[in-house]
Amino acid sequence: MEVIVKKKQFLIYLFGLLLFTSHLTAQEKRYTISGTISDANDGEDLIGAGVLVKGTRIGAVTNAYGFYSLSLPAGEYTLVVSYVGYDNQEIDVRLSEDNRLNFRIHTNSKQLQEVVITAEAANSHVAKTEMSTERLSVKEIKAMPALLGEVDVIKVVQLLPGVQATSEGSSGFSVRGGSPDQNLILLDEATVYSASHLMGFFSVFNNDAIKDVTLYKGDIPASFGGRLSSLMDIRSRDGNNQRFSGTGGIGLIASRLTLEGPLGSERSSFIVSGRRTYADLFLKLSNDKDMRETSLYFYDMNAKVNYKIDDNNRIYIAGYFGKDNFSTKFAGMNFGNKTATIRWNHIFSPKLFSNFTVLGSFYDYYMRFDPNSQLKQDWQSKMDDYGIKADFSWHPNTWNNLKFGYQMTYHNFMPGDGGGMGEDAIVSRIRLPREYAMESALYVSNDMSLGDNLKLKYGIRFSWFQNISNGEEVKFLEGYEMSHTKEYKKGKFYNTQHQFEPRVGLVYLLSDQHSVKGSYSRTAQYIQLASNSSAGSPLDVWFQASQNVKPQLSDQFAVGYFRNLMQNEYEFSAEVYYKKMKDVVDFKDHAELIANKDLEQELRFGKGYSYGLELMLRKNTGPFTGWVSYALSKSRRRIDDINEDEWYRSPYDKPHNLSIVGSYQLNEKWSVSGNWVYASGSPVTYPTGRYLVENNYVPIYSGRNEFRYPAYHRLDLSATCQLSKPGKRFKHELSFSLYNAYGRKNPWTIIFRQEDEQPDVSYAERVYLFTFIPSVTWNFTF
Amino acid sequence: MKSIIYKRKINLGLTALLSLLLLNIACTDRIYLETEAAAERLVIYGYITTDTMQHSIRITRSTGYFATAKPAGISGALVTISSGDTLFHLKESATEAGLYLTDPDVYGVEGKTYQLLVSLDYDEDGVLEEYTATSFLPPAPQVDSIQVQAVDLFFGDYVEVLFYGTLPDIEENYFKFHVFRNQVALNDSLIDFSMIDDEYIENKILEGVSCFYLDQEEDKFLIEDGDLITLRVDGITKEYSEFLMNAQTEVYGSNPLFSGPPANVETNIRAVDPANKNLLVGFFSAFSGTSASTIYREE
Repeated sequence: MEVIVKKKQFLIYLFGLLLFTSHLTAQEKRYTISGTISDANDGEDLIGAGVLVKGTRIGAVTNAYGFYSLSLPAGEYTLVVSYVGYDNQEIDVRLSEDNRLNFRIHTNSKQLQEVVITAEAANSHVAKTEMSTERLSVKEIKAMPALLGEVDVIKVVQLLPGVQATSEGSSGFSVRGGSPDQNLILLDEATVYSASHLMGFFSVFNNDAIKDVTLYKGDIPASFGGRLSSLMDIRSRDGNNQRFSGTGGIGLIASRLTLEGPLGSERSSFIVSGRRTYADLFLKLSNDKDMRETSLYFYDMNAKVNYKIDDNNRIYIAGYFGKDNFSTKFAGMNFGNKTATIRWNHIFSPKLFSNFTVLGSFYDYYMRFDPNSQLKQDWQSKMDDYGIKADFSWHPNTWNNLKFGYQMTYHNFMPGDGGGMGEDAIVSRIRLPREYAMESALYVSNDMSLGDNLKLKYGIRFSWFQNISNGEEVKFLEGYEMSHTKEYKKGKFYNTQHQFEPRVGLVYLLSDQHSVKGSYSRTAQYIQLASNSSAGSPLDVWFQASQNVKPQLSDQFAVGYFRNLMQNEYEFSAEVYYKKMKDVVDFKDHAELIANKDLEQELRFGKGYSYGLELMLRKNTGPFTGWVSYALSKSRRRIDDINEDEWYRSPYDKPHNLSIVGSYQLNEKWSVSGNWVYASGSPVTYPTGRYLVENNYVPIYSGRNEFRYPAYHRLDLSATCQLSKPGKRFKHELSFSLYNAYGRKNPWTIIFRQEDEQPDVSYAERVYLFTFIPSVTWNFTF
Repeated sequence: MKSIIYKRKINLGLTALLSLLLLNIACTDRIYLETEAAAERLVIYGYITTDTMQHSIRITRSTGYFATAKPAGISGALVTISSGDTLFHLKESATEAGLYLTDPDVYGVEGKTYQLLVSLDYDEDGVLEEYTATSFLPPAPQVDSIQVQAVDLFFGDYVEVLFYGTLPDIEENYFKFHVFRNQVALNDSLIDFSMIDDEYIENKILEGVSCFYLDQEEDKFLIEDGDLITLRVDGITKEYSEFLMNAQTEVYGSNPLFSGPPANVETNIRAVDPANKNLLVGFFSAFSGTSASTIYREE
């Protein structure tokens, strides 16, 4: 009932906003120029490209589907279409009625031999209302040195200010002190629950299939929600609609191949991209029979087709699936994601763009333990999400860009099912109760220009989460202990929680080259990971907010100064932020998280905060590109029953974080790149005392996270040699990488042991994963 | 791999295996860490069992983690273990300070609850403080016989110890295993202990359950033809089982993928006077045990 009242409040707000913007539209008769901007070479729609009325600050930017809309009074205009790395295109327009103009722009011929890494319109860094946001192009990602030759988007994201790897080599990342499960990772709008392959050393994203990556470290648009800390929005490529082409590579541990092309005509195109590791193939050569029976590999595949029905309708169907497999004679596991997205872009009018999405996201893992017939066991867990979305973008006039929509996701989690296998098994089968819930949201936001210098962005998201009965008794806790149980009919919505999540931002342009920005955003998180390890593992399961678990809340404030220098060649930004979190979830000491029917009794709740300064200087064009970023931050938590209820350092609190990233095009044949990272050591709890139990010394620990590991630093280098001559359709190159070039022994963990010969002597041992790792990859395109 | 893979929860074996895999691809080196010693704790640890023997309680002071000597025992304590009308006085060992022993004819009885009471002047203020803990003595599993056989497992040669017997007919059983070669304990250290519960075990009658895998590449566990192998199974309380497993976890240490944050292990030792704020660690427990033996014959 309360949710219905809140929904009504939200709709009244929406209606008021529409009335307000409608009023603005009525002031003067305007006509609309709308259409798409795409790459002339392969037909890919360009995200964030600008259309500007020459000589003014009036303009529009393309959305995630390459669509723009610009309303102007009748008259004659010169429009400039710009996108960094592409030739500007100018067109004179006599506007006396609504106009559809689709632009195809060409890669900047002058810069063909240079590296141009950042997408977007030239000064959008300064002019857009968004802050705390980083966009990465595939060119940028591919230029980076790679671990074992596999270039990885998440490893590049970890070099951005305010973002940190959760541990050496991991694909998990922390944004502004938040936990890895507080990051919403979307691939074509579908949630990716576990973004890592091979225990985190590689991410699930194949760069050949990616078009655009945007990371929101705060200031998350109202159209997104469900996580506290960040949004990583990954859009896959549509496929070349001009000609059949391919991309691929053969590396030391993996190979990949992407094929794309038009389907019949340029109205439709496809892309299929796959890769697989083959380290296990070498195991087949082993003399040891057990080793020959061992497998260790991952594979993944992206596929997408799109069809442009007419100028107003376009359909996209995209899918991803990937699997990791590790298997020996006596144990094995596999895990993987699948996502599927069907989208329909419909242009109701030149001013009203819409996108309707049906999506599914699936994650599962399976484990087998087979020492003998009696102890043979398996265990599996699954998460299925089904969702629908309706997103609208209305451009009533040049000064307003209104977005609104509705989203709904049905969660069906199977936390665990398994046990003994076969007739001889002595272990029984266990099935943890399934968890069902509906997560929904309505949102509305408006980007508004108030004069030439001030732009305002304001919006609100109303989210609600409803637990659905699985027909089994529901447990109610009081003070972390069981209080009572209640039964509900299967399928009944028995518990509803909701949140208003306001999002506000503004930019004041001091000139075309510099601006100040501010933002406030509230985010709510209704599902979280049952993991208390710092890096997380694929065996972690997610659990839902419930009658015992409140949604986590975060309020984040940020202000920043943004400056472009030397004709937008350099971008500088300085941001400070303060983030306050409520109802943060953690786990009691020695919690049992897997196969636990009473997981909620292991939870503990509290609060947290983080604040910091982030500086970024970035060079986007020319033979030399790259960035220097520095973050100074602090992150603390206070959780019931942990650290004697005192505040302690968040596991991801690293006060200093410096990244230097650079690529240099030496000549037509050779390019080199490198990155150096420095970060304060991760917080850690060390033993400070000991006592003897059954011949072993049991540690007595310091306060939670009272110490730090030694500082982390690492240099990676790479060099790429073009093997093909300019102008050839078949291009190929050799890419050499050296990870951790000076062999720094960064601790993955520190363990404590007793001497074998002198058991009363304890010592500390640093465990490190990588010193220098060279690799070579052969890449080709045709 | 030390000796045993049988774990309480079904996935821990695989988790341990994956951790091991990562640790195997990782490199290690010793480092020097400077950590300020923790505030000293009073350590009380011991148990009473159904065996007729001298039972012991050890009372010591904790030390800094990187101390290089055994912890100092605390002398002069008054130590008793009681149950209803039974009271055992423990006397301090003549050879080892802080080790308090019962008479040799003492034994515990299944189904009884035992209370430990320790009086000592730990903080040396001239006044005796009292510390106490209680433990129920649960019934022991019945070990009818055992079988010992060589198996090819975990990429190596192992000897497997199979347990034939019956679990007590109670709702929850927790037990720990010990194996002996020619009456010498092979897993007398905490990290080699093996604890399980019967939450997910279907039958109370066990017909050849693997409970130990002895790595034949380690001298410590090497079994030869003609060796007398004994299996002892102790019925323990849930609280003691958790104490041992949590202590074991902390002794093993943590890794970023699968381990939670390090945490102090909870004790059941309490100060009688709530105003007494001395820091305490350790555990007092009571448990029962049965055993069976066989001669190992190579096939």
